[in-house]
Amino acid sequence: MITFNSVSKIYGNYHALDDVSFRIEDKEFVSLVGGSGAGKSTVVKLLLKEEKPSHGKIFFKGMDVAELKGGGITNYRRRIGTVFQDFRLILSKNVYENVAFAMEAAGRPEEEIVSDVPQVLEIVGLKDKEKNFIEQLSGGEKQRVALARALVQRPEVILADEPTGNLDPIHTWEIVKLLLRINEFGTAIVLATHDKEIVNFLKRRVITLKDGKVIRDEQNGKYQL
Amino acid sequence: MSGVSKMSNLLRIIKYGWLGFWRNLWVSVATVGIMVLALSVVSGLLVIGNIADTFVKELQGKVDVSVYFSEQADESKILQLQSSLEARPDVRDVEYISRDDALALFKERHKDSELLMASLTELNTNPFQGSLNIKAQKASQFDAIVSFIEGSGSAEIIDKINFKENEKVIQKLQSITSSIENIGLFFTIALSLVAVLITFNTIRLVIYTYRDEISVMKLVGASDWFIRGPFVFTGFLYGALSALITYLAFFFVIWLISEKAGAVFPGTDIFAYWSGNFVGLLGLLLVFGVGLGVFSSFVAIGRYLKV
Repeated sequence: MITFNSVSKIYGNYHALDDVSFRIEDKEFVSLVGGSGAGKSTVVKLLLKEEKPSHGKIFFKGMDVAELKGGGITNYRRRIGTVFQDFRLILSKNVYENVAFAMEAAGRPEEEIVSDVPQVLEIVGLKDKEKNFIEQLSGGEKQRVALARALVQRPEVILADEPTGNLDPIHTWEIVKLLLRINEFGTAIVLATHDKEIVNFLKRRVITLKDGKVIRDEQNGKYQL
Repeated sequence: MSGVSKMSNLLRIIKYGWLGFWRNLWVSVATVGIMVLALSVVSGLLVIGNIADTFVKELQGKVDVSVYFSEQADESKILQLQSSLEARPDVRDVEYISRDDALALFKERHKDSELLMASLTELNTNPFQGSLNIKAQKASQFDAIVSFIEGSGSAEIIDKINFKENEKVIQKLQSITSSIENIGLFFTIALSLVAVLITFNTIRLVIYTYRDEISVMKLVGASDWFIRGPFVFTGFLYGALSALITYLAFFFVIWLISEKAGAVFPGTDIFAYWSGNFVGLLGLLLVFGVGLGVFSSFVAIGRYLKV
């Protein structure tokens, strides 16, 4: 589904990614690990087309991501769900509206939105808080809203960039369990994290980055730098 | 995208524009307040322009040029000259005062002066000349009108034209009129530009506070139009509301000061101007306010859409 083919990203003289290649299949759960500055967030940014690779190619379902323009980028992003450490929610909208926004932006009909949003909020355990504004939620709840927003688009993959970075241990495990559940529904998960405990608990494929290079790529891998 | 989907997207854009206005009420109130100030500058210029225009016309209406005819002048030739003057677009009014009318006017004006009346009786003849009193559309047009009279073939019946005596007054008036027009134009352009810049920067600041949300919207796959639409609609609301408030505020203020303004500038009636041109003035403020709100929002959001 996702292919990185000798991808490098250079900022000035700094190599954020250096000749990185890997392939992620449908329905996979992959942890992308590494210390600060290893290149995890750069991979996410390149996948979201927030940035362009300096060298190499990125393919999503055979489509060259770098070639996408205008409406093509918009449609591509609708196929990918994203969850960030800082939640990136729309503060001026309530929980329901934040989740519904992704569907509205995709031009989905109202009846579908009215039916799907409550279901997804039920899955993430926020059905009773749908009218709350983001500032009225805890960190864990905010991240569950972000997950619901990603999930409601029925994406083929969810990119989670340090989704538990701002959460306490209880909320961290809530999010991890939700990601596993979403993966069971058939959505691929790319989890960028530096949380050793989570990675070792998951026992899934682990791609380890160091100084912008892939130093290890193992099934049932462990967190080791 | 189907027609139904387009319509539902349009309704969503309006809904979120409306919610954006109400949920950030203090930001909206502040923005509308600043736009009201900017539109007040435009409205003030309109009122001052009306006062200046009426005042200048009033002054110009008081200036005329009189052509005096010799005692033997054939009245039909005078009336012929009057007709040809009335046909000119730069002539506002031509009044013929015959010798008999002039005598009657003199008698009426000085009926209480025994000395003058006695002198007139002693003369035993009508000493007054027939004349044409000519008013031009603008003071600057008198020169051309006088040249026309002098070249009209009526020279043998004309005794004198008092243009030369009035020329200095006319030139002074011309210079005042042209100064008022030029200053008015300068202030209209300069202050309108200030109003545009203030409004544009205010809306730009409002949209700046939403920059993070805009980038999030882009990342979840919203199209530029779906993001921009609600902000543009909110800009529309800012403009429409500001125009309405400005019109009503001026209506009230003008109602209060109209009488005093009329006393200072005779002939002006700004309340009649403001209330009588309701459709045109409110329409102008709406076009200016809404246009500015929509344009500012549209442009200001552009830089944050490049994610």
